[in-house]
Amino acid sequence: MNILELTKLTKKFGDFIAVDQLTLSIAEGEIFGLLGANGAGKSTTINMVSGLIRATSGEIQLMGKSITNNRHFAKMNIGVVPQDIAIYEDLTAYENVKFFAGLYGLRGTKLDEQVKKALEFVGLSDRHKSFPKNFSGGMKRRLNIACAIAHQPKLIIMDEPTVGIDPQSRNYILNSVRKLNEMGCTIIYTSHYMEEVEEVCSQIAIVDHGKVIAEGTKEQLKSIITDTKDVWVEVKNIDGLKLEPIQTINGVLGVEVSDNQIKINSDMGVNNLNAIIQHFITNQIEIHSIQEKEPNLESVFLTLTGRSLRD
Amino acid sequence: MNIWSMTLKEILVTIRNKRAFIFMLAFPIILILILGTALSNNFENTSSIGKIHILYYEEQANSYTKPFHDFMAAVKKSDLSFEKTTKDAGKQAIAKAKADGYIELSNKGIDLYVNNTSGISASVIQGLLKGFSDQYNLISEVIKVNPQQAKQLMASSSPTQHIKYITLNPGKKPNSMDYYAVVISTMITLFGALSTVALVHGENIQRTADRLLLAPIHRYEIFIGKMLGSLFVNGICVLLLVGFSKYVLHTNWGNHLWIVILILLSSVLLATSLGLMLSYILQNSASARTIIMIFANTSALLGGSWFAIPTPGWINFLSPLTWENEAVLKVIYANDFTATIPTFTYNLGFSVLCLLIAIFSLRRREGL
Ligand SMILES: Nc1ncnc2c1ncn2[C@@H]1O[C@H](COP(=O)(O)OP(=O)(O)OP(=O)(O)O)[C@@H](O)[C@H]1O
Ligand SMILES: [Mg+2]
Repeated sequence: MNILELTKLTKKFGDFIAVDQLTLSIAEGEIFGLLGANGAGKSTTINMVSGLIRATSGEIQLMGKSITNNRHFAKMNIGVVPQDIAIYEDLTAYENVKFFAGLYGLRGTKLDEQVKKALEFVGLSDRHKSFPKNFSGGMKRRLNIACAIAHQPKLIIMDEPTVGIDPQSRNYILNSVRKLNEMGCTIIYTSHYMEEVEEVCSQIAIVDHGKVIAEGTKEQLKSIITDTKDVWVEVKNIDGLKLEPIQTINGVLGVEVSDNQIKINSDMGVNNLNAIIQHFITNQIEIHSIQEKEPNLESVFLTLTGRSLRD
Repeated sequence: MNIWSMTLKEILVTIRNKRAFIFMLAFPIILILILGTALSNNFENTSSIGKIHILYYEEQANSYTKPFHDFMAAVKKSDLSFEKTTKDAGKQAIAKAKADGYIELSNKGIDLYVNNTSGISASVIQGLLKGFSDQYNLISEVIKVNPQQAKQLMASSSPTQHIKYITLNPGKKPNSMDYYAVVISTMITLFGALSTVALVHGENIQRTADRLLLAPIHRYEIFIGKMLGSLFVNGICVLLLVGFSKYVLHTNWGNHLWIVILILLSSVLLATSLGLMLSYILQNSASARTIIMIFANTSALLGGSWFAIPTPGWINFLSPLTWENEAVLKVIYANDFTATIPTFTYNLGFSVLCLLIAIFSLRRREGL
């Protein structure tokens, strides 16, 4: 069964179309990754699902019910971890979670239990009496999550929950995403970090300019672009290397440089390895190694959108 | 139930904001102490009344004789003494300030001679006499006798040719500490609007506004919760201030503390409503705060919070503090409630107007 069904969802800000006839189905039990560059329309889509902003047109169904006619039902069943940390600095971790969970009709010992469970879940049990102003970025992110899950929603939407945190907290969060999923929650996960999405998501949609441009498991997505390959060239000294001529080599789709490594993405069908090597030789740049690599999600994204995921 | 959670949260958040709390409590206490001490010369210093010596003269037996003797018997306490005298001796004693008051009874009515009409003992005598004359429906007059005018007075046969104070103005006068305890307390209620703005705009700054909108809580529940929380905290602040000034500084809050507190709370309501209105019509908390600072400071200046205003004009009555201070001082020092209802009306009217505007702007916007 599909827990969420978006049909021709559109959001215009004035003349600007942030989300453009977006259609998407998310099955129950999925960890669904929404992948897109800055401004692709991820947060806008999420805000329409959570009811924060009104759709210009289109339809959103949660568990088969239109959310416009079932606001309360939708609110009770959705938990949102906002992109920006949203907690009260003057309330303790416990009070923060309790306040928000309390708004969902939980009372008394049941409320207390669920609050403690949520804090335990994100690993803040021992700091439940502390104020967020004394928290690290990662701890704040975790509290931000606890505030969204204490009322035990069926659908949890996480909008870039790992921005700007230490690797330890990130692992903690990724593990809790899996755990929540095992407990029966469906999760929508947006991120800039390709590795995260590859690691946890069972289903992925790539969003660009407010549209879904590809959707499937990561294997399916990669198979879309099996006609491209990456050639990695490691050189001794990058000085004097001109990138533009490489781009004009037959079959080359994109070139990226990091340190002394040059990544050349090119059409699988064209045999251009000789031409590439020739270019380095004529420019008198010494090659250390050459490698051909399988495509990853990053290259899928690059191929589909023509730009890199992160600026 | 959501309203209650909201209210409770606002109370917690505000109480933990130490800066706001110091501003609402420590600051006014310091102001009362400083202004009360520094400006004490502008006020009557005697707060305790010594023995009051009253002379009286009766023109034969007249219709007031019986009631007046009853009255004397009734009020004769250890610190009030009556002495019979002659007409001239009485006036002379007043002119030389040898007695606190001289009462002349004749068939025309009662004349009271005092040396200084605004003195404490004079006020007491006037007050007593007013009570007496009200009771017996007599005509009473107070005549001020200045020492310089003594000769002229002696020569004259009728006291009515001299300065008369037909209206009797009973009551004690506040000393400077008493005065500032009242006017600073009323003033500080207005600054409570700042913490109301902080409560509303805090949700945007901390991004929690979105989280509230995601939850199954109505925007009006949020509005009312915030209002109640703010009222509660600001109300507690002013009560603590009154308590402190009454029991620690021993300032006079009169015999009708409940009325005084109600007036102060109506001012808290006014400030909270103003804060709500400004935070809902202005998205920018800096401009809301600026407007509140201007409003509160102008009101304070016009309302006599810094310097007492002897005869307030219409411009002073634009300030809610003029109304409140007058009402409170009248209740404390004259047991006079005539200014109370108009003050309530002003404050409630102002509050309702602000709240209506706040609700109107809340209805028109999508966010919190
Ligand atoms: N309230 C608004 N008014 C006008 N334009 C908006 C508004 N909200 C978003 N936009 C625009 O809509 C586009 C999509 O924004 P959105 O926040 O959905 O992107 P995103 O995919 O979440 O990006 P990011 O990865 O940076 O969070 C952006 O170009 C943004 O500038
Ligand atoms: Mg976003």
